[in-house]
Amino acid sequence: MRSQLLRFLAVPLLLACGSVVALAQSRREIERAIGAVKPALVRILVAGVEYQQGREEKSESAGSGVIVRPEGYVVTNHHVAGWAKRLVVTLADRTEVEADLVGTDPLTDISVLKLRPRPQGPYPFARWGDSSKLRVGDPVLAMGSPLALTQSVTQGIVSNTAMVMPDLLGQVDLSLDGEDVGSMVLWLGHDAKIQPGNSGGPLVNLAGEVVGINELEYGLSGAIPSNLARKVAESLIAGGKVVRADLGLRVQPLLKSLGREKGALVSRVVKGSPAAQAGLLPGDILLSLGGTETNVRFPEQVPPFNGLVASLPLGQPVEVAFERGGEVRRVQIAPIERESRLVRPVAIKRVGLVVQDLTRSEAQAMGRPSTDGAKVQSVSPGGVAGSLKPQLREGDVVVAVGSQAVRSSKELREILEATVQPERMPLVLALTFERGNEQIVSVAKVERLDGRDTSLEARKAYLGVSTQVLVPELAAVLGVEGRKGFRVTAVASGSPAEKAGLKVGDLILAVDDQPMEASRPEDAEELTETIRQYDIGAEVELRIWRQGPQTLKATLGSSPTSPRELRRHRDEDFEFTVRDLTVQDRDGRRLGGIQGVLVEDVASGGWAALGRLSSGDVILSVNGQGVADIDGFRQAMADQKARKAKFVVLRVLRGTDELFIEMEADWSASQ
Amino acid sequence: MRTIFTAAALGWALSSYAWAQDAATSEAGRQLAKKVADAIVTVRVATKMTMTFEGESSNQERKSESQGLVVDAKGSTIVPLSNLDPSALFAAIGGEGMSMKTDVTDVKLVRSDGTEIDAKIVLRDKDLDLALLVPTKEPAAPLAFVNLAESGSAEALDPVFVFSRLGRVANRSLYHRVTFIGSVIERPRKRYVVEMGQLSSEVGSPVFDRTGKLLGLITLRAATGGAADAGDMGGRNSVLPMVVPASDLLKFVSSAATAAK
Repeated sequence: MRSQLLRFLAVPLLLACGSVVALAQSRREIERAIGAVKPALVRILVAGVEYQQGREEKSESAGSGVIVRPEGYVVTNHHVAGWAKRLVVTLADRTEVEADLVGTDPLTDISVLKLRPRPQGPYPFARWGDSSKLRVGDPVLAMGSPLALTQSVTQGIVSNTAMVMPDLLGQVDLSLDGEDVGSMVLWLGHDAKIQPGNSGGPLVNLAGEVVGINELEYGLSGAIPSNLARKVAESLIAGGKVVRADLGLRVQPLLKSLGREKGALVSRVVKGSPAAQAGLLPGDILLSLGGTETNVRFPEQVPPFNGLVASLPLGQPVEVAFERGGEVRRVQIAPIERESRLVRPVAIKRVGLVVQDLTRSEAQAMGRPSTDGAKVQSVSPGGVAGSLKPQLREGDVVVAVGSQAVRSSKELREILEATVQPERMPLVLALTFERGNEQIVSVAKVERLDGRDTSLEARKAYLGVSTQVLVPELAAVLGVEGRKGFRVTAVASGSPAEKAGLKVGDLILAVDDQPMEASRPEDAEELTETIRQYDIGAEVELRIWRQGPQTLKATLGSSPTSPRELRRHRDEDFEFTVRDLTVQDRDGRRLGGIQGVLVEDVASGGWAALGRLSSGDVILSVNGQGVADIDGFRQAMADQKARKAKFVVLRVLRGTDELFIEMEADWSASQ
Repeated sequence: MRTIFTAAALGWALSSYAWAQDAATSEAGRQLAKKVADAIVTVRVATKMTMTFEGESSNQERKSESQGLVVDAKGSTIVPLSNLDPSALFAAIGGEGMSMKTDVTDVKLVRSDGTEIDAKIVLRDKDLDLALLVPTKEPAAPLAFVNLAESGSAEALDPVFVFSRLGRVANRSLYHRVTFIGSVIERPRKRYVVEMGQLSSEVGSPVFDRTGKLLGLITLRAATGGAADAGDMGGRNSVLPMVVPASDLLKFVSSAATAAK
């Protein structure tokens, strides 16, 4: 009986031991893989730009990346760093290093950055793996900074080695700056959890090699295969851009009605392109390209075809075999360089307009003979461009200012900046633009550029107390049943109320002979409104209750200056605005006699925002130099600028906390 | 039978009287509209708004149109402040941790004939929800205006005339409406409440009494005490359009000179 029992127990025990051994082995492999890549894993803080409403706006975002060379080259996604103005990279040891954008490729969503050299010498880097060797089921690790957290790792398996965007629920494209990423990338699908912030981080195999660059999450996680990412990254490192060949044709999977299993259906031939010049037409079946058979039966076969075209040698004729009407034809086509769709907009700040150059393909699609002109991206509603009649719209192409022709966005900026000068006001600005087949002249009378609002607040008589209504329940608690009026909850420093001797807890029952009737929360404004009926400087008699009836006399003052009327200073180097403190600021925050200036707003992506300065902070000192008011602050910042301080340290009051804010300066952009 | 005949005759007489009164009111309204139409202008503003939430700021620009009332021959115009700069209203009803700062970057008065006059804000009163605009250059010819000193009065249920400017889609035509005083609020300060029209935003519209005198201007009144109650679904406890009496408008306009000192 006992031996039988042992036999029954032995089998699961052995199995369990096997599992434990396997688990331990797997754990060791994971640790080794993590150990190989983690030193090269980085978090990237990006201060980028966006163009909207006729302005260039700074933005902040975060992503992940991996160092792939000891010189400090980092691979990440284009959608992380492609529009960066400033890059701050946090290394695995948590040190921060500034980086520069080397090149970016929206078509494959790959960017390369270069870390600035550091005294410690070369950077740790990760090795590339061969993504073509991955099989469904292989374990993989996604490494990065999900939601901008510090470097983290998730685990999963390869779920799909040729993932495309589904078209079952309608066309789903991943389009970046006019480029369809899915036309070139077959993603590695995997189930290691990734989040926003993981973008650009490495997908790692158990050998500790980078086999993909994580890019998206669409049910499954998706990574750009390392073989493609590496090739693109090396091109960017070598020349700052990726040179691709173009024939000027598009293909789609074969239609079932064609009843064939080989070839690729030509869906579009671009007018004037090498393919068009060689006589190819939509509907032709492409059989081979430079001796390589072309088969596109499924969407998964489109990216490899596009990759094949892109890799053709520029300018060297290749044989293209195609079938038309049952007849096989052969032509020689010399590929040209593929035009990048990435166009950097040009912001024309003076008139509130953002324009961009036309690409060749755009001009062709619009039926324009050349790329001359500047395409409108956005217009500031409040700017000079926003006052043009008829209004400019996105997509309009500006072709002239007055009688001066416009060939490019930069030329439009030069012309407008020379034309719209404050000393030339008022002036009539006439822009000629094209919209569809119409050529329209748009006109604006520009009278001034300075649109600052300098209006004043209406001045009213002011007592300087905060109050609560003496509701019946409160009156009962205070032992003054049946009385109506207000209980003083705060007395403003230096106010007429303070000078009159009003104290917190006093009950105001009447002003001169007018009894206060307030007994409901709805009556909260009765006292204020009563006071406002008086002239500034008038003397009023306040009938109050302080352990019994008393009378106080107050000389009403003028309502205090509102925050919007105060002096403010905009620091253009660090991009934030401060203003003087008001009595209300001091009383409301219990600042007492503290001297400083209040941070009113902090532009996203600016050096102050990167240093984590926040609106509402009170700045007490600048690099140890005390700040009493706006003048003192302006002078202190001017001093830092004059000596080009590498760091500007602000001592700030945030709520009840005091802390130091370190802002790193970039005086190179300073005027 | 005789009773029925008498009742029918009385009913006919009453409805005829009502019709006659309506016709007279309409005619009076049309005559008044002719007199004041040119003083009711479209106000076009461009604003830059900075919204701050938990220390982070974001900017947005917008252009909007409303209406204002010209109150002197030089083109001084009163308009609800909330139509230009909603930040004070936002502060009164806005949520915790959020703030709004508005810079008005461009103001234009658009007259009924389409001409535009460049203007600027010179005075604000967030309690009355009023702003005073003046042209940046004195107009070449005097403008039509409504005299604030000739103020009207009304009681609850009295008929009143409300005029507003329709938008570009309606060629900025004048919109006329006869309505009734729904409420006269005495405390803490006199204000009237009239039912708002459905077709056009009437905040900024002048209201005239049945004798054709200016009763006041419709502005927004925000209750103090912060955000609306959770149960305040319609916002009736937070914000309501109300008519600021002409006497207050006059006092506000007159205070511009004092504020400038």
